[in-house]
Amino acid sequence: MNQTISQKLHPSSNPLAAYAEAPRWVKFQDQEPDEQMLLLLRRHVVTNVPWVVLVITLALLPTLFAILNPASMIGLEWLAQIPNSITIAITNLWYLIVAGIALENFLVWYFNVYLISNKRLVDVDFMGLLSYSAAETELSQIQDVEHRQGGIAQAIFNFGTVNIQTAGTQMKFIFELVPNPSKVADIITDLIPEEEDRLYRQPAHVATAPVGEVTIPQDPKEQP
Amino acid sequence: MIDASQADIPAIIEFIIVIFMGMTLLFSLLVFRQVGQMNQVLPTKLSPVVRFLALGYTGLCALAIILALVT
Repeated sequence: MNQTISQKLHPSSNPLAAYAEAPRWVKFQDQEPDEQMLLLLRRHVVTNVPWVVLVITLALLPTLFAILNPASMIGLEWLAQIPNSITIAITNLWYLIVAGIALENFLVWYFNVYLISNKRLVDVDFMGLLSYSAAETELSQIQDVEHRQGGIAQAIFNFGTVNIQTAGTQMKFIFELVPNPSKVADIITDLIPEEEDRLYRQPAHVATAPVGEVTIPQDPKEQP
Repeated sequence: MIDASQADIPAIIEFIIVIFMGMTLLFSLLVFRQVGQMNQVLPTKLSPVVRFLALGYTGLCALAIILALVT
């Protein structure tokens, strides 16, 4: 017996996963009651390394500054005369800025998601604090799916970009740096015939009616 | 004799620090607003945690300003 894609997926319970199959813990704003989320994708966790390293370095700087005391090396001894209260305030401000950088980068990663349901693809782009955009296309609109991997990091950690060509107003959906790009492309490709089958499958009462005869479906409430 | 320009330096630095802290508070309020909006678009199991993170950051900014003003 043929299994549908949704039956083949293993539900993931990790809300921070970059690749989550059948995530029950996520909903989209306009999600229909009979719509099932099949995949949730984010950029691969490895793509967070640059900003994590930056934040750790910035967080360690005040400590390094206190230990090495570079001010005395470059002839800025007057810095030592700054009152303690101001030094503490400057340090607090520094850590607030570092925490802000970390929080913003985390949120950009967390809210930049690509969703694949049994009916459509949704691309939520969170572009910083002042703007976001959400684009969606029905599975039946998809014309071509292509995946690409390039570079050592993408080969080692198995992530890449999936390009989806559609017939809709937004011609191309790009899932950037997502884990398992070949598997994602496979799932989307397998979903298209399932969706077409669902859309074009005729109800039984129409399919069995003789030509020229109109069948009116019975109201289930009137049946004994 | 007291040099008035030297005596004012800490006050000026403190003023600049408070201004910058005010900017971080404004930034944190923007973060909080945006997180609320995104949680409506994409509600997940972690939505309350993310909202708490944003709220915590806003609280820290406010606390830092109060500390800077008091000390």
